[in-house]
Amino acid sequence: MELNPFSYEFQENPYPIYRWLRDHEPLHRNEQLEFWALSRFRDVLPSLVDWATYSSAEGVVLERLDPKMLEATPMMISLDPPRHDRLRKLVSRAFTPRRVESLEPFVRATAVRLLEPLVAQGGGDFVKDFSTPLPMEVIFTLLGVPDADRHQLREWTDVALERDPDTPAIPARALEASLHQMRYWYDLIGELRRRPNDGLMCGLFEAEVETDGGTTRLSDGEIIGFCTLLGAAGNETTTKLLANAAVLFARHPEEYRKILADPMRLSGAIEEILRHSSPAQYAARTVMRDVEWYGRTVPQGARMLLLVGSANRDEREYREPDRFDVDRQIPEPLGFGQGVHYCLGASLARLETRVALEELGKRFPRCAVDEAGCRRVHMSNVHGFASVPFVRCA
Amino acid sequence: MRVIVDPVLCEGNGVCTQVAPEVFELGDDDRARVLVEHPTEARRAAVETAVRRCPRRAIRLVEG
Repeated sequence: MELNPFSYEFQENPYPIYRWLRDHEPLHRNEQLEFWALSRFRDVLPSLVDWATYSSAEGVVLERLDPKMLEATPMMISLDPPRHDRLRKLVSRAFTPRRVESLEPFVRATAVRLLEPLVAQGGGDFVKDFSTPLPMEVIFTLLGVPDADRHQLREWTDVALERDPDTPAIPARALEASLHQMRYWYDLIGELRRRPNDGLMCGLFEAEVETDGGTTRLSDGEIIGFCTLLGAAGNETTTKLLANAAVLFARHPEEYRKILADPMRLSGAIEEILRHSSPAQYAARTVMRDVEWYGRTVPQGARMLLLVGSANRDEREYREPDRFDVDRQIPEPLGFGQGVHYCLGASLARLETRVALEELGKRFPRCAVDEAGCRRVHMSNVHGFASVPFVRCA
Repeated sequence: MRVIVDPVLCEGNGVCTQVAPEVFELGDDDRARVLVEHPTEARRAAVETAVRRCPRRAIRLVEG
């Protein structure tokens, strides 16, 4: 059995392969694509936390990223401490659970505004009409992106992450979209430096970063890195999470009825959606010293995939892991990672999902999806839907 | 035992304040504060759970 994250068949349903790996090759080696992979919960979790052994500095996807690009627009997702910590500190205060809570009225108003037309039309495309625009409006409002530019910028994010079947080569259209995006952020930064607003980005202009010799301001490259990262992370994964939720609830109407009947179960349900159908399926790392796993040595410099999507379905950790159960206890959730790279937007994603499902539940007493009409995205480590036809039933 | 929260790592996710509310509280700066620096043995299990579940791994337990 072989694990190829770029195989469209694998992306459609990775779980049988994950199960085989956990049972037969808990340390897997792919000779052709030159990576190793860990798939069991108790192996993935400590490795995610151990940033000194498992470095993010060469990027967190399997594709080889251009080191010059990584350096020109540094992003904390692909930096190790202490550089990571210096950048993260600048934005982390904006995303604490308490700060994020204050966004709830705005998130709710946006969700309602987007859902009303779906009610009137008796349905629509859950991804295009709801799970894409909701996080988009939220994160781009936070960053201060003008309304008129949002759809184009969001489109570039999608295209930048799309991959062709079976190959880790980054398609030309994806590179082009990344460059468009970068150019856009560069221009917007110039514009906002001239006419500041109260968005997160203008806060970054003033932010002081500690260095060995004192403090410095962020460079334009670093601000572009922040915007690219927050723009992509704030959109892609939440869009996938919401649509995965819609599809899961359509498949399991009894679980949907439980959260409608008792909204207190919703926060647990969100953790279960993240466990069962995690948008982020793996985190790639570079091994910084020879490590031993299951009697084999993974050499320093090797690429290691930490298969979060598999760990979440590990029968050694969860009973009946393939079953979707909104009341399941999940003491150590992995969906947002763990440790220094723990998802900065976890609270925001949880808030958006809770509000979205609350408002959806009020308007759609049943969650009905045309599964035959669903289309998946083809990205490296993000799994989810590009299209989910959705109808309102009484 | 002594409980330490790393103020740089802590981002106020509030997991510790839920699993061990007698030992941790969320401060005005959105960081966890240690209420009882030297908790009794009776609190050990709760504190160890907080250490293990902190998503940022910001809590340490030092013996003595």
